[in-house]
Amino acid sequence: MIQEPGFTNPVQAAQQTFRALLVALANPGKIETLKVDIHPPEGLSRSCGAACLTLLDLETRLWLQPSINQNIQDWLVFHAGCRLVSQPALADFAVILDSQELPSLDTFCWGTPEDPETSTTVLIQLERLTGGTVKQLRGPGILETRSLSVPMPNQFWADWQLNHQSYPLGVDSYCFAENHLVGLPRSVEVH
Amino acid sequence: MTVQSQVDRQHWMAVLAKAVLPQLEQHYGHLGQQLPTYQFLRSPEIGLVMVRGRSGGTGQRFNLGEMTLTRCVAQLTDQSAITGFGYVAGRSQRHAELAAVCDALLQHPDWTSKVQSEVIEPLEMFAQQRREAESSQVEATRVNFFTMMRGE
Repeated sequence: MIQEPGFTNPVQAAQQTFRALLVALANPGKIETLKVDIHPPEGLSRSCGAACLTLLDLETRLWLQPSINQNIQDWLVFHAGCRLVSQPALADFAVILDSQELPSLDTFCWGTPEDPETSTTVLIQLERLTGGTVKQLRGPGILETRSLSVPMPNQFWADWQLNHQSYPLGVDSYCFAENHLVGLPRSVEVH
Repeated sequence: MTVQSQVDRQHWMAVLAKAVLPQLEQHYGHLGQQLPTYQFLRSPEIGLVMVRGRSGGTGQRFNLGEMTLTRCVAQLTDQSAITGFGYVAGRSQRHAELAAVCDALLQHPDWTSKVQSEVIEPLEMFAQQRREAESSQVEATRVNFFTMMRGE
């Protein structure tokens, strides 16, 4: 068993990461930078690793994209203690490392009208957060419009229309690259 | 891991977890200065565990109560495949750390015999002596109860 350590300073690092995640979701499309000391295993970016260790615990159910290697899976289970599920619809959180192979958003849990907060939060890791098609975002947390150019496949943006229209149901998502992250809550409208 | 090595490891982990900290510290000090360096995979952290029991050892499982526990996982820097686990009762982070490091060293082929003879055996001997002293003390005040058959 070869493992990498988790947060060097678990309390402060988890609090800083949680704050960054909150700010990112409150300001959709704004790129946040995370400054925490963490060295996740090969293939997992620092921001995505930090977000996983902050959000996941013994009570959360996690769905991992099937292509994710055993090393990353062991690391997450060891440090976060989360339970893995085989169906995306059963998961509280989903980790996607290959955005080209992202399943359709309606395969995740969208919550119920009584409990829309029980939906899946989708964590997507990318190479970088810029350089894709420029999209205009509107919605709560954005004064007029905000432009964002995350390189996500077209299918994702097509799915997002339905995801947004089904509000209050739907999934929230985050995109990560290196030590940056951007939040896309279901309330955001993308053109 | 073979069954024998698993039994051995359970044994030394139990000795380390039940040891008294000052003694563990003292014997650990005897190991010398050239100990391999280590890093924490999981730095010592204090938490609660639910202790469960079965009445009579066979009945339904029930929750006996919670107890504090400190756990730690250490990894040797030069041999990252070796990880040592320390789970000790109470709130001593140093105890959990030493238990984890000793567990890692005991899995290291160059260190296992030295740690066995310098740490595990003296600790075990002390535990044995303490158990005997306690039981002889208790023995001195033993009271026997007899029940008499009721005459019909």
